[in-house]
Amino acid sequence: MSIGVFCNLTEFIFKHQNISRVLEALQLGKERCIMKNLINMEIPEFTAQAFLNGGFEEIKKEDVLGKWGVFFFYPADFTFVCPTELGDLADFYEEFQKIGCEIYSVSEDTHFVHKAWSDASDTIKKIEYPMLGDPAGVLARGFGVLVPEEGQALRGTFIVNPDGKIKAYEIHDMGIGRNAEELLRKVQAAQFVEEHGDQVCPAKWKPGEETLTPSLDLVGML
Amino acid sequence: MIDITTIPEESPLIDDNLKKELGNVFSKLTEEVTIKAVLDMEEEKSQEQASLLRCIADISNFIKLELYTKEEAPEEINTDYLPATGLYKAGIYSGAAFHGVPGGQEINSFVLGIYNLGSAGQPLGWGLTRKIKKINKKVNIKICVSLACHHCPKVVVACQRIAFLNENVEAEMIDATLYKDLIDRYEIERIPLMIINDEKKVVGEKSIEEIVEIVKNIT
Repeated sequence: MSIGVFCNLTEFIFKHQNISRVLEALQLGKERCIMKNLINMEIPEFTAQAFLNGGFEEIKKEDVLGKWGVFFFYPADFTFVCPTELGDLADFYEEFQKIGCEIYSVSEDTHFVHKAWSDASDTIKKIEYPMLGDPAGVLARGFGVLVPEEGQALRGTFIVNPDGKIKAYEIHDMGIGRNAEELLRKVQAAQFVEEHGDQVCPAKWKPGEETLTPSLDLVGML
Repeated sequence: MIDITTIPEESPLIDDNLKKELGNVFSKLTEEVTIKAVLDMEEEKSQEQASLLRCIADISNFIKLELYTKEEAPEEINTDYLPATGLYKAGIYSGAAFHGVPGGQEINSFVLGIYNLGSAGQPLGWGLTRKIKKINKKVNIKICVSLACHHCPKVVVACQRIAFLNENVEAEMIDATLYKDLIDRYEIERIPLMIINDEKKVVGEKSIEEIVEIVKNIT
């Protein structure tokens, strides 16, 4: 091989590497700038130990499928805002049951810690929905709410349809609480849309509502 | 019959622009369509409907208008909800009726109703036409709407096109905001709502193909 060819080759490799680095950087930049959403994504595979009815039970992804579910993440047991939220949810649990929706609360504690918390707190004692332990962060990572350096989950709420697809969700930063009544409304709305489609108008009945000015629009219809 | 000359010629619902647009649509009519309306002239909505209909009928020679009191109403028209307006061709009830005043978004279903009945109409595939003609049981569809709902006229038009093709089918648009007993009776919260044979409720915008399937499966 002549020196000239060798030089051209090294130059090529050097340039090529640079190009790939630039492309890589661009790609990274893209991923950082473009936000993605989780609507209609399927929930991750998981097997978790749950604290339920004073005992422990294994809950897997398959157990969740077939009915509506809410995954309710919170940072950790034995903290202050959480019992309020979880208690609020416990108060509405019967309503969720009536509409065929299960609640799964999730934190990065073990199921044993959930039990200890339940034994220690009157608010937590009244909870009848399964409290999932996620010490390895499988669920929190899967749903994108894990804060790795803190080993805690953001306050994420995910409404999941019977096929395991996310139909609505909200993720709050640590201190911002959620409202169980609003969550119930959202589940009802999601169920309604699943059953009837989204092409409906609310019927806001107002006796004596004025006749509206005609708005003729037959473009492309004749 | 109510004397049409006693009805105002102009309707506050139809301005010059709209009149021109309606003229364009109705210039495509090739057959006579008769509008028969049952009115209670004591009521504001019936008065609104009377002037609206007179104004529309004056736009085309192919549109005839007959106004009735409840006592002398043609028997095929459901007079539970007045004003009630039926579309007829060659003296025969088409199965399309409107309860309330078809203003707002519903002007579209009313105008398309007249257009589809009095002309070649909007094209419909041969297979679907055949399916519609094969419906062999009596089907009454009440389509509950509000005048502000933009999904609603599409359902009304689809149901009435089915009615035009098959005499077993009747499709009545009802401005549900006007009839509180109807809202209570059928617990209406969302519209468009189809009530089929006074029993089965179907919410939401549906295509004519979907409606034909629903109607076919009615027992």
